[in-house]
Amino acid sequence: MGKLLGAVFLGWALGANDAANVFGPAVSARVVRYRTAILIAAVFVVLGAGTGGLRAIEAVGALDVQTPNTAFWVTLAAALAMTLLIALRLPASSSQAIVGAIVGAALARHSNVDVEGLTRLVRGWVLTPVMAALIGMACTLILGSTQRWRPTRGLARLDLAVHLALLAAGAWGAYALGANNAANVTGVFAAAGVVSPTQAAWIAGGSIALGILTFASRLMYLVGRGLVQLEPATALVAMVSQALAVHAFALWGVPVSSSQALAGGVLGIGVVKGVRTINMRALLNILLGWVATPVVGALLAYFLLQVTTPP
Amino acid sequence: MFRLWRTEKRLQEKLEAYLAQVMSSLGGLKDAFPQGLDGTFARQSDLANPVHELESVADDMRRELELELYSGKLLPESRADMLSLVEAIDRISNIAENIVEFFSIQKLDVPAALHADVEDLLRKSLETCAAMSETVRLLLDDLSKIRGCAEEVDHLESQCDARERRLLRRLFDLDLDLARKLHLRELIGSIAALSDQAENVADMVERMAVKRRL
Repeated sequence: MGKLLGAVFLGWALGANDAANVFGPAVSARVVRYRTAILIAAVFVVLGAGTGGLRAIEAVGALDVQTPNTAFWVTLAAALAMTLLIALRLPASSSQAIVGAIVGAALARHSNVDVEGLTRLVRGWVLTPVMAALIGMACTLILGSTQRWRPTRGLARLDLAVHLALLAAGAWGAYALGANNAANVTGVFAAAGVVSPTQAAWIAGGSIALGILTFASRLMYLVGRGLVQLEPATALVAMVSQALAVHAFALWGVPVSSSQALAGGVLGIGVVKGVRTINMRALLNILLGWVATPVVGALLAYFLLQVTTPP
Repeated sequence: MFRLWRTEKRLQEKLEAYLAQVMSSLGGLKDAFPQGLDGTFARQSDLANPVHELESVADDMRRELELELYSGKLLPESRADMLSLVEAIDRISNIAENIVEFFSIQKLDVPAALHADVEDLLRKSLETCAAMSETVRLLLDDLSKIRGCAEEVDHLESQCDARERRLLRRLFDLDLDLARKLHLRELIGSIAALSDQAENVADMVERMAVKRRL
């Protein structure tokens, strides 16, 4: 059971990193308080992992056969890859880190990775920002064209509606994050038989929540302000796009990056509104995330297994 | 939810009360203006500016409204916009008070030849302010109607501009010394400033409504 510490570390890093994608736009737009955001995110991430995380856990587990020992080194490698990339201020996706680590571990052990499953996951990564961008575009178009038919309201009531909608979108985003990314945290341990898939889901949810509650503040403000400056209504569309895309991939059993989903959503809004909502650096970060994160995860896992496994 | 509804109601009540008080200041100006033109203020040097007290009450109400805005449930962006808006509305009652001071303090004597045109300009400026007040009221009531109301303010302000230009032309055609002409020009400018400021307020309200469209 002590091996699960690798998973808890990875879950903690994931929570600290990804809570910002779920609630960052609303918190940095100063609509939702940080404390409220992390409490809601923590509760819903656990619920999402516990009730919707099984499908992706099975998909990650099916990539390669694991032992408790390899599961530990794989999760540790993924967590270290994430920590390293965050320290270097580079985009870090747990989905890409864990898959990279599984592949690296497989190379070290001369084991065969399920290429079909891997291709499905990689296809999911590429599709995530595209899908979120399309959702962002659709939401912006629909909301824009239905403006005149919506019930008219005064400023205070509209503000209240936006506030409640942002809370709901954040809760949904956290649920989707839990359902989608629980697999990254404990999927390999379920594959190794250390815990049952259901236990894996709840442990993952708990450790992600721990990361959210203890270390999400720095990135929470960075996501909204560093990437784009969003108005409350735009923040809502971005958050809904992100939540919907991540949730859809959770239902398909493909763990994806919530950062890339958020960037895609914001890009989609910008395309429809004809304004630059995202800079080239954010787009470059997405491309870098597809390559750097799995490569670093793979190298670390390969190295750790080479060092720790007797010849 | 009930508390939020009550907060919204209280904010609406305070804003409406404040607007009513600003309109009272303008009413005070409207009532005092004929006395200014006919020289009542010049003859009775101890006659107080009636707008002063109304403006002072409006100031107190503005402070209360600002406190309500700080404690209320508006989004930070809306709160900042509302505070700027209240400040802009406040300038209208200040202008009204200043206009009466042309008579109560500066004892300005307006030539009879200009009385009708000056009164006409004031009437149109006050009409612009009334339309502005309705535009602001809609902010907490129905954002969708703001555009039409703001356009009405813009239209009225253009009419004030035309009247102001015509009046200035007539003023400088009169055989008066330059100092008096400049003094009168300042009065005319202040009356027109009422409608300019009303238009600024309506523009702010319109921008606030547009910003809240996706």
